Amino acid sequence: MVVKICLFASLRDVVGQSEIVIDSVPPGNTALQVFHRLARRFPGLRRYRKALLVAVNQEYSDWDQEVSPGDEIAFFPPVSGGAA
Amino acid sequence: MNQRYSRQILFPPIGTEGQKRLGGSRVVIVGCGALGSVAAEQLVRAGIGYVRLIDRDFVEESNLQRQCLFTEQHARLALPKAVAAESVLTSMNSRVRVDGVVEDLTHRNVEALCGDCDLILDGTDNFETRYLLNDYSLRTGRTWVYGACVGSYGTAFTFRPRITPCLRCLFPQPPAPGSAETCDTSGILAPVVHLVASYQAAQVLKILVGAEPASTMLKVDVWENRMKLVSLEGARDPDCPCCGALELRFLEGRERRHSVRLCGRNAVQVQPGGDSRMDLPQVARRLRPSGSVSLNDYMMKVEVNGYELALFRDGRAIIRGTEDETEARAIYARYVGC
Ligand SMILES: [Zn+2]
Repeated sequence: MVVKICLFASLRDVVGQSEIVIDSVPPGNTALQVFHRLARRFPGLRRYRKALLVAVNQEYSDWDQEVSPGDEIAFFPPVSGGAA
Repeated sequence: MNQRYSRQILFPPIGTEGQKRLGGSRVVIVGCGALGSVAAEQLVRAGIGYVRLIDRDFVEESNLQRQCLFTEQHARLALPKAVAAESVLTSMNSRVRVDGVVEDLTHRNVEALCGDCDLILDGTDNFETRYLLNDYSLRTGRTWVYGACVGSYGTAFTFRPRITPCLRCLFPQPPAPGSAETCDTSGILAPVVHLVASYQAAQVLKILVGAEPASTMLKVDVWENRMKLVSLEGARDPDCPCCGALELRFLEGRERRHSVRLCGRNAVQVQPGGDSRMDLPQVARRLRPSGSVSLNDYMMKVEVNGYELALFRDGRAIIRGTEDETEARAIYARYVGC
């Protein structure tokens, strides 16, 4: 199935684009499995995994949430700056 | 009521009643860098009764690109941000009581500095202080309005104890070193700062007049043209040690570090344990043979061996030229002593 992934901040820089469509996700895959699939292509993503927030269709989601065809999965890294 | 707030009063959700409430409110802004100065200007112009600004830093030339309260003169004098901001804000609206406090917020002074305010606005640049604010908010029931930016990206959320998830529900651990972006790896654009800080200020105004703040988390990138509002329903962790079991380790001082890297500065702040008062002129005399020394009423600066060490009266130092905390502590020990 096809899902859309949105990447913010440093994740965007690792992948080189802020949106990426993956079309080979097996049905029943979780948000975590989708992340790992992406991280196989972009290993630089791996070190962010533990600190990320995940949202599916703009709702906070657990890593073990199953995704559906057409879902938009967004990953947000923590950001510390207050621009001091 | 004269003309000063007339356009804000004409806005029905505020009105005369809301304006009165703003005038009777007290807000503390923790961190007066980019986010803090933008939010402070809006809240002071809006006529909040009392605004306290807490900041541990001083103005530098590289701040001027985005920190809207500061001038070249402030940077030349290396004024503490809290002092410069207080004077500028007071000239913008003399009816608001503005109180600039040159201190680092810690578990020891958080009650003294936040306990008499209705609401906390986060303008900090580090997770340690945010976890402290999160703990304090849960202990006292105060709402805090989080904001953070890096590069062209920013985020904001209003944390309300027992209503929304807390910071620990979202980020159980402070990010590992190197895993969170900082302004020194990615820079920072003024437009995203203004956007995020304005959003924070709007939440503060809403809460103070009794309206409902946003329950979604703002995620915005001004360069990629993206804006998302993420629902955090379901994000509250029933097993959260903070908002669940009220294990408030930062508030209890059990997570206190003695040094902390400063975002975007190639610098480390070192904080001596306990309360130490410094005789800055005396330290300056002692250091003159080692390097070029400058001194004002608030701080002493010395350039030595490729480092720049800024020492404040409370014993705190900002050491520039390194990002290594151990190295910074060593330099502190060598030139300041403990
Ligand atoms: Zn929590």
